Amino acid sequence: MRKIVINALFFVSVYMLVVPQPAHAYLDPGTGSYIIQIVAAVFFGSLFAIKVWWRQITLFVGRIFGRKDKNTEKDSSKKN
Amino acid sequence: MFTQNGSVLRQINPIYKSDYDLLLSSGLYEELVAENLLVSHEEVKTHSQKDAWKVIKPQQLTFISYPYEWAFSMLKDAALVTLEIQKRALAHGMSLKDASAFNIQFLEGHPVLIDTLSFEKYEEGKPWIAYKQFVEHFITPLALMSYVDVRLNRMTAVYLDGIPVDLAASMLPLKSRLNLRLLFHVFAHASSQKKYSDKKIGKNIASRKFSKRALLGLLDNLEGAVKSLSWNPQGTEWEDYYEEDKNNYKSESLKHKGELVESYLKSIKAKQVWDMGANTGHFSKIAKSTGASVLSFDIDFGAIEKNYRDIKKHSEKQMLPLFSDLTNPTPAVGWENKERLSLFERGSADCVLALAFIHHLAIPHNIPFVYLAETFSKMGTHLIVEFIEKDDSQVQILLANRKDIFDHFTKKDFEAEFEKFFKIMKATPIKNSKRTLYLMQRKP
Repeated sequence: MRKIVINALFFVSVYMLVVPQPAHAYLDPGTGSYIIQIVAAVFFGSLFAIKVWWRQITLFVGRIFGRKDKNTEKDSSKKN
Repeated sequence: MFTQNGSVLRQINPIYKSDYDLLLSSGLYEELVAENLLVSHEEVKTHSQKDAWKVIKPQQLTFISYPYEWAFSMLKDAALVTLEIQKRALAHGMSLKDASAFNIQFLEGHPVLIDTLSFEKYEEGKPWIAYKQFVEHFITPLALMSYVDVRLNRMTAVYLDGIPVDLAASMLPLKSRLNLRLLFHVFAHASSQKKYSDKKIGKNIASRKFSKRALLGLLDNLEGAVKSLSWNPQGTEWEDYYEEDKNNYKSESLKHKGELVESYLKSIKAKQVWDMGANTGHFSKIAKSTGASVLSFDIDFGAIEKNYRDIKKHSEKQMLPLFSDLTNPTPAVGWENKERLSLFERGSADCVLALAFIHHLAIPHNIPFVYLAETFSKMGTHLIVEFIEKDDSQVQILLANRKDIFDHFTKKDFEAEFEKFFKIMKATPIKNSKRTLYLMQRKP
């Protein structure tokens, strides 16, 4: 379910390339690469927030049931 | 960048002072070097560079390899390391201003960043300046190799600034659009480039901020894109070469050949070995066990891939698998054809291994023995070469569908032609085979 929601969000964001109002700057060929990041900023930010939030939930649930979070395990093993 | 007394040095200009200071003071440099993600360096004093603020001497590499010589997983690991470095840089208030695959080298089996000066202070609100470069240096070639054909890696030798997203989009199959990350980073990206190629930027877009969280999200998404791409060597030419009984690698002769290679290498104390036609690295490993550093070249991306995976699995440090086609060695390319060097310009070996190799050049490509001898003499001071008689089953396979015009493919001719460039030091018949293993030394 979570995956479907994320995928749906993704599709919406990808096609949310808004039509800009003309301003006063000439562009280099990298402009499109710059703009696509900007227009998808909200999407990337939200997706990342959801991911972090989801990780915390699974960690919390994992703790209740006495299981360790995979990422935490990996990180702690690295430090040792 | 310049060389002095045989060492590669880098000049830091005054304009980069604050970024360099931040790299050191933030603890980023120390962390990246400790984690084997960045080459170490030392500051040196030199009077030759008058306009320099500082000069640094990075850890010296014995051989520079290029992305167009890497296996699929090597490019993939280089991509993941670039993202890892960028994440760590952000945590220290810095950002990578370049994400070129050429900035990554394989050192002791691991990909590391060699461009110490590609960090700059991170300014919140700005998107990743190296995003386009990352996509075109890593995502597009990996996607093409994964979805179309692994040999498309060679396109990176033509498109030195990365494979353009519009070109990749035109070549990728429809099903690749189902990979949503590719749909965004390649297809939507290509549309965006096209849309804005001749338009003025919108005020509403120019004024938008790209938060740090968005940047972390972008990096996370790119990491997912890289990880979503895979390629497995199946049905490639050499993949199961040693396992199958159809060739002459009967266990006894294989073992004997390995022992000979080992003793020859030990007798000349070779430190740098180039194994040409290394397949999945069987004899490269034997060379490595004698204490040599080995470049393990092959023409087959499946073999290189298997070799690299094995090196990773066993944490081998002295072997580097690379693509090489000796009939068309990696040329010099880029600005004035000096930017990226040819294979021969990048070094040479103490010993070249050409095991079960020369018949693949002499017969299908009709290359005379004397040409082979001359080429090998340019590559290294010593040569371990295997001669295979014409009636060997492997040579017969090569002759199966061709007219036998190779009257000079005899041991006598082979020795006479190679002796024009080399002195034969040892020649031992390999047990249980029709093969002879030679140790030769280049004539002065």
